[in-house]
Amino acid sequence: MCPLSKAIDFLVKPDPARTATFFVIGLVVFEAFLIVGLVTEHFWETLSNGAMICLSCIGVG
Amino acid sequence: MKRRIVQFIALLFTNSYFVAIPRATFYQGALKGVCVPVLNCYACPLAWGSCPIGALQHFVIIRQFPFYVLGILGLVGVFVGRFPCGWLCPFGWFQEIVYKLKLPKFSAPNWLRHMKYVVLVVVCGLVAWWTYEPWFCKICPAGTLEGGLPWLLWQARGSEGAEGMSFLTWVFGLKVLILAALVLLMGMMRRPFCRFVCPLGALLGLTNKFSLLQMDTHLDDCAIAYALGSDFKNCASCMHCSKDCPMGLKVPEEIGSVDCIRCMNCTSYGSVYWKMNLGQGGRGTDRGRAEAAAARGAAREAATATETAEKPEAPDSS
Repeated sequence: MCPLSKAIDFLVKPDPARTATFFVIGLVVFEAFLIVGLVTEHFWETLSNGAMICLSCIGVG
Repeated sequence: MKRRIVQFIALLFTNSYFVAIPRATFYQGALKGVCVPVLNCYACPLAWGSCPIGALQHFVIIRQFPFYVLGILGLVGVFVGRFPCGWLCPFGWFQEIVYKLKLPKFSAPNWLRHMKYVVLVVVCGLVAWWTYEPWFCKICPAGTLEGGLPWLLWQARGSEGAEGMSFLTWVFGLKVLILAALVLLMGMMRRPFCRFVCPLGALLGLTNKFSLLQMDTHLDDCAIAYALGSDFKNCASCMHCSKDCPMGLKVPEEIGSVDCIRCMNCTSYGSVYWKMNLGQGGRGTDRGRAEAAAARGAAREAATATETAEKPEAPDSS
């Protein structure tokens, strides 16, 4: 098992309640990330990057 | 079999801009702003969504923290962990199909699994930061298969978007070479890209430990052990569930590890359950338990049928 996996295991495995707590924390944090991303117009940045396919970026241009 | 169907439907769904085929064009609408939680190249002419790893590198290049990409991936991850890798990823499906080819099979050392974190941090992070180029996209085998080769076709068909492309660059040669080598590896070992390289799997895997969807074991319920008539506790002796794991995990020990892709292959042996992290908190959901019980029942019936067939007929007492 990799060290990172061991570390996360240590944090969340021993107690189901702790696992649930991490789930709730993760949910709140990532939801906040998504909201911040949308507010700061990251959606449009992703859209412009995805829609304007840079052929050199995929190694064919 | 059920999973193969879901994977195929997911492949069609994420690459459903079929208008691109007759017109030799590609999708540029608003949906390209949505990151799909699978490795699906947004340069694929049929793709309507964005690849999260491509988008991640883009944000690294423009020096912005990728809140949006991490938000989407994190939200998917906290609910289902690496489930998209096992059930939705088109490149994962492709690897499983290629593995069915009759080539010599071999396993790889476990330490190679850590390589995907190096790829995530070094190639997708540091290299993109220093060079201002998405180098993972340039050499990504999924990108070659879904984006590079179709664009070659588009150029041959005279697409406007493909005008002026010079395909014979060394980068194109390199990425085709990487894809060819990987396809050969795919035929010889299970999901080598997912296990050793995929940065998306590395990211999603971090949420495996606390995601809502969890895997758990109850070794007393092993259907194979029952069928073999062996000690129920001694599950590691047959390794049937481990052999069926596309990620090469030692299932009883590593069932909830960061590398588990929730493919549910191991649940068919009865000793592994899926369950929801919140709510019941017991050995599994009713449905998970029902599936496990059905698997055990089938194994018991098979064992009983074998015993009946092998039992010699009683001598006639008359």
